[in-house]
Amino acid sequence: MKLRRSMLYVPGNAPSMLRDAHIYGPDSLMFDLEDAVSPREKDAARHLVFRALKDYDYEGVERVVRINGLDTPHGLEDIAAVVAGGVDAVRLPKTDGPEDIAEVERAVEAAEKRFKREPGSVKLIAAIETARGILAVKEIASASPRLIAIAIGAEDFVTDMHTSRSADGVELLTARSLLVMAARAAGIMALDTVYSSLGDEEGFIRELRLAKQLGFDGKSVIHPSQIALTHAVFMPSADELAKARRIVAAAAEAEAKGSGVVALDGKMIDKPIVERALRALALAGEASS
Amino acid sequence: MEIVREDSAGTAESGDARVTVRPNPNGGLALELRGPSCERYGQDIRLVALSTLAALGVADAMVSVEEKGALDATIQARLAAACGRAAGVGSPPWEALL
Amino acid sequence: MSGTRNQCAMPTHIPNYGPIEPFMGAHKAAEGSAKLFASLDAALDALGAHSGMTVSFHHHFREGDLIVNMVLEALARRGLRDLSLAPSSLSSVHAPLIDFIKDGTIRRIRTSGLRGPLADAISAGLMDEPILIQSHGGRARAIDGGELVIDLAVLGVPSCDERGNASGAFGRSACGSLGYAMVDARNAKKVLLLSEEIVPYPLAPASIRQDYVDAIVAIDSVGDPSGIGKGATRMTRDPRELLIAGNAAAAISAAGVIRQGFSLQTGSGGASLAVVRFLREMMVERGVKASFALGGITSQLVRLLEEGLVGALFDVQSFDLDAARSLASNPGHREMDASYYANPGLKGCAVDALDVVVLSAMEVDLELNVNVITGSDGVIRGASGGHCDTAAGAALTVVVAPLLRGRLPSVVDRVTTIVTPGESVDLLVTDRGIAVNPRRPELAESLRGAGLPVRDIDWLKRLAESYTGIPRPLEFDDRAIALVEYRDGTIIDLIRRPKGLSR
Repeated sequence: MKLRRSMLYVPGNAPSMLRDAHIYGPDSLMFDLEDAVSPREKDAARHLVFRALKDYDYEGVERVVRINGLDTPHGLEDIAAVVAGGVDAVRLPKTDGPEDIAEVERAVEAAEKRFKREPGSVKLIAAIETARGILAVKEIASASPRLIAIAIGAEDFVTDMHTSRSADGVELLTARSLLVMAARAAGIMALDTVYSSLGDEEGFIRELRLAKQLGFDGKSVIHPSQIALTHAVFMPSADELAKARRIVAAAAEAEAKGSGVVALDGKMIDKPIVERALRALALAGEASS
Repeated sequence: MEIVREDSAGTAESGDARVTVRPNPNGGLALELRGPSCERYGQDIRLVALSTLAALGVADAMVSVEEKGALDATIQARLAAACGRAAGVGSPPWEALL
Repeated sequence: MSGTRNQCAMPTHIPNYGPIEPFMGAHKAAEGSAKLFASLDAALDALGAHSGMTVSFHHHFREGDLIVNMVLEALARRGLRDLSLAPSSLSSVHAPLIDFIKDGTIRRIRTSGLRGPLADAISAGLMDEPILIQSHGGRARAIDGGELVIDLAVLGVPSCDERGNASGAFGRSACGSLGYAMVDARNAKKVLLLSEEIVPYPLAPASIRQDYVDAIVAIDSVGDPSGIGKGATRMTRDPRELLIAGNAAAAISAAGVIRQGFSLQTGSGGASLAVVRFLREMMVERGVKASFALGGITSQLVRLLEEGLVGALFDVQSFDLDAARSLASNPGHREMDASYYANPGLKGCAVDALDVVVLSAMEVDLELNVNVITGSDGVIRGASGGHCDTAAGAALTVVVAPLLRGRLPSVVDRVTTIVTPGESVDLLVTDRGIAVNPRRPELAESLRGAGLPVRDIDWLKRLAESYTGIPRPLEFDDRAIALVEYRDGTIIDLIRRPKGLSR
């Protein structure tokens, strides 16, 4: 199972950070051509990210590029550059509806053809950052077979909502829940927004726990120092893991016996519990037998 | 790509390069390299710069590369960006750069 | 008053004892101010400064030092020639020495470090005689062992009393420990203090004692405080350095070093200093306390002392004002001289008791030899310091370096200059993996067992080159510009002039 507990932002115009950002151990890298790059430098960052994708070995770590929206003069050229460079997934900002996904998909498809990449090989991630987008999240989540995850971008969203971010995140609760639900319904992943107060470790952990409890698969992070904490929170606890191992073993035993009923310590184990146990083991990087 | 004005790309930060491209009144390519890596990697940098210029179809230009420990990929990217700006070309020939 | 009634009665030879010196009268002790001179020139007159002599200095004022330039200017003005300079280190502020080398005032230099324009000029062949690069322990060995005879030690101090008790812990230009200067003070034929403040007698505790001091001159300023040291050494926030530091701490833990009463030293440099932070977390978590920490002391180590996580600090050089303040006030923070620290020629030194040392490096080669003195262009720009001393002494020697600095690989086929031999290095920790000295297979096993990324050093070198390309070999001409001395006095390497550089 591919994990996306952490997706590390790397500014697209910073050569020495682009070189080997995977060494900090994120599940995915996200090279940013959008907000991290000033309008004057879009072309230069695009060249750097193109070369980085093409020339550097990230040892198998997923490489996502956040492009500029297709409503800007940069979006189409971004897609050409990153598809040519060999990107794994394109992340579209400010997705308001399924038509945005369709438009990106057409451009990606054209670029795949142009640069002779296998059709359908470039995946998509949609970031939702407006009230409109959240209300269309169900349609967005199933807009393309290329779509592997949807993400919430909180800063723009709270601005759109005429509110601001608070410590407990109540202003985001509905949006987050709707987004996770849509992702689950569509069978794709749900990624939580960034936490930008780097010094506030407690607040960060609080938000990670909230995201995990709501069902998110992971979180975008803006600094390598956030990765270990993120993984720690999204990782099942030792107790959970021990229990999961016993449940999976019991399920395997039942299957070997040809029995449809899984029992552990004299109790019946429902199918969703086995599924959850398998997920926990996968998250911990343990092969589920 | 025809270089029609002077323009540059990149920064003077560590690990980066600042590349400036301008029209060459005498025709042909004039390449000037400066920086801490030139002593040990000057030949590599020169070769990669020339092949990038060839890929971009830049035949006449004065090019100056001031590197601060930039790797080849960075030099190529900065050079391509500087040429695009100096030639007024917004869509690079990505195929040629592959 | 002269003569006493005993005088005529006293024989000059006593049977069964031998010749004696009869009492000739009580000498009145010199006036308290007899060591105080009104000017540097007056003191140099009195101390018999002469051509060809060996003059020593300390480097506790680092990039803020005003003493070396000031004294050399005075010596040059007196027309002295062929001087041997034996400072504990030199830095970028000493560029004016170039002129004194050119005009023949200075003929010979031995130092631990050399940076900036003076280093560039010497690398280009400024001096007729090659300079000698010594380690801190090696310099102390040469001085205490009588091999390096100092005619005149000129020691800048932030404060002293009129009889020559001096301390680095107090005063406007407080620099903390005077550990390197203490060895010079007790061995030099003549000792001259240049002090910013003369305080009432007695200054105690004194780093440099009155019984070693010949002369004192009050001067306006010994150094520029901004170059001497900052309030607190900032912990690096560079993620790469933190990654390396975290890996180094994990490796130290996997090696089994972090147990009750262990001892440690960390060198200067972002990643090396940051290791302290990670070790601290492990110590707190496991309830382990260290017995002592050594070497150059920073605010991070002071914090460990104050939290009771380390029993004592032995300070040869205080790297920031927090360390200087702590030295002045905390009895667990002790000053140590360079011989006590690292001299291999006496009957024991502190580095031998180290469980672990973490050191930085400019280059490391396939044999784990370490270069901390010459840059990738072959030009001198560093310091030997306590590198080879601590590496030889510590049970576990950990070298930390990023795989690349800009386009320069840190792991190379052969280091430009060997300062510390690979046989005294156990681990190289980089941002891309950890190389273990093949002589320590059990260590490699422990690290692997802890899930650490153990890599062949050759693999690291090839990985570096996959980014940079293969560097063109440096070329040198025949001119030797410096000898690199190992701590025991043998010569471990020769620095030649890079081709293309000339006077």
